[in-house]
Amino acid sequence: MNLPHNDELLSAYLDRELSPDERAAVDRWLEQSPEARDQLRELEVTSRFVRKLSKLEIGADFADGVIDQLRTESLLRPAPIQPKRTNRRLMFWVGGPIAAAATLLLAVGITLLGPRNEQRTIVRNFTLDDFSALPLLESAAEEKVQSPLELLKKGDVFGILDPDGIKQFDLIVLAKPTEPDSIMCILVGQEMTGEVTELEARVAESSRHPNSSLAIEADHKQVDQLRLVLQEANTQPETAYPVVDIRASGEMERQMLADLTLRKRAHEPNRPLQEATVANSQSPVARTEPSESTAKQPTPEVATQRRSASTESERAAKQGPPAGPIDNAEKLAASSADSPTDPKATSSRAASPSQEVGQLGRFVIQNIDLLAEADKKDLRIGKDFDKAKQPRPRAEALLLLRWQK
Amino acid sequence: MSDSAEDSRLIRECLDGHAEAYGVLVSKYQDRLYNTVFRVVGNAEDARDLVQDVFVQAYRSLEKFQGQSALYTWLYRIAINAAISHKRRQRIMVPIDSGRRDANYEPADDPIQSDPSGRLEQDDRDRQVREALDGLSAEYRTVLVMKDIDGHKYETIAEMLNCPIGTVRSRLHRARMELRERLRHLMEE
Repeated sequence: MNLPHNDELLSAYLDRELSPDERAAVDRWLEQSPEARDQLRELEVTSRFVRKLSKLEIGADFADGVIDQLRTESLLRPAPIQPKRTNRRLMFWVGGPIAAAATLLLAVGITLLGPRNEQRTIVRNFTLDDFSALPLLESAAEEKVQSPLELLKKGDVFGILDPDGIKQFDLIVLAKPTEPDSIMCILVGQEMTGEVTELEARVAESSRHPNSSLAIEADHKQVDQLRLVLQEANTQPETAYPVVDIRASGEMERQMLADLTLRKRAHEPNRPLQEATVANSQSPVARTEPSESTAKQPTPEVATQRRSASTESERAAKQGPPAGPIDNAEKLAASSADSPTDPKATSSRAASPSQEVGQLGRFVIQNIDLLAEADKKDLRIGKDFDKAKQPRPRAEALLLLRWQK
Repeated sequence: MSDSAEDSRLIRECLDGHAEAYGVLVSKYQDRLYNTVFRVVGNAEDARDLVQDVFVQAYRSLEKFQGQSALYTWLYRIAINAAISHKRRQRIMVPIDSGRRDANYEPADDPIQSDPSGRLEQDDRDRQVREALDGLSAEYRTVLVMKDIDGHKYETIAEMLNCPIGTVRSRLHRARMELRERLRHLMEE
């Protein structure tokens, strides 16, 4: 083989990427040419400079960041169900409509503002399998209750998982209406950024289910009132509150909205945002003095611009009294330290509501927390929500969950 | 258990919904991929974001991974393509402050370079080599990284870059020649 006409082979020689013939030719060239030897040496040094670059470390927390991103984008695959939960009795509850003819179908209407303030409506049917409440189902099987919902207590918090196993909502039990197979809840969205499209995509599929039913209908008059209240109560009034629609059909839902409205109506401009008012004087827990511990808690910030009490009273008069029966023991109600006989007066119990929970969620949580103190019940809400650190877009809705057989 | 078998087990666990298994895989390969991507894109923050995207993309496609190649090779292929695409997008952008490129540069501790003066000398040489690399075109830099840092064979580089081996050979040689000129002052020290 003749001497190479170009020097490209020198790099390949260095990298041992030449055929035997090529290598032999380059060897001969190097023997005869001091310039070629110099060039090879410089190429070798250059290559070594690159090879000797310090190794970098991306950081110990990098893997956690990847997992967090997967979680945020709802990409994580669903975690396996623990085998111990799939016992025979449990299968009665979660075995599906064919096996037990007892599947909880919950239809929820939620309207929310997405990250770009684009209004979207989500309608989704939940089955009982969606709840991370399998232990509850086991208990239901053991205690032979008619409906797992009977075991739910006010203040219980459950996560609702999407099919990927990602918690999309917290379901907070508020009250039990008169029907034993239904329960009033608030649904508080967790991470509604990238998931909205997927949820919407599932709507079309679930809506074709022959047993699905829309449990909640809209009452926009009530919604408008609540929206005003929430906007006023927001600590940053200029920030659009994401909840734009609370849907309600039954008297229970109307009562809930009325309670919230009354609470704000009774609020005095120079006082911190107050807790619930007595909405039903027949309630056994309706009049309770706030505890010392709650009275000493720091007060939350409130909006600086508030509607006058008279304007609120006028709105209350137009709205009229709450209609319909309600389970008094589970009713949203609280006391007023200043004027306990005035059903529209308020107490000054304050909390430091988590930023993770929307305004409506804060109302509800504070409210039933107060009720819990009155009822001496052990609620678990606070610790669940205090873990949250960063505010995220969210959706909230009042729901009437119905157990269908 | 071999590396490949261990990876296969972890992948199965990922597919079964064990997120922590993927965390193990990420931890295993994150630094190697980061070094490669950083050398190609020349910016620590961009490299970190790109590597994170690589792992997210890989997780999305985990079912498609057939195991015919090693997991690292598969990840590497995704990473190098992401880095090249990133550099191509960067072509139309004018660097505002090249001095900030390595703001997050954190070399790993090198047990060999334990004495402070040696460390400083190494850091200074690293900086000069990085700057020289930054001055190369993306094509030159990529083949240099793939060969001299990651140690791939020409055939593998050609396959990953979807070009003939002869192109790899000539491109690598020209890259080294250009880098040699940029580092000539170091050779004379």
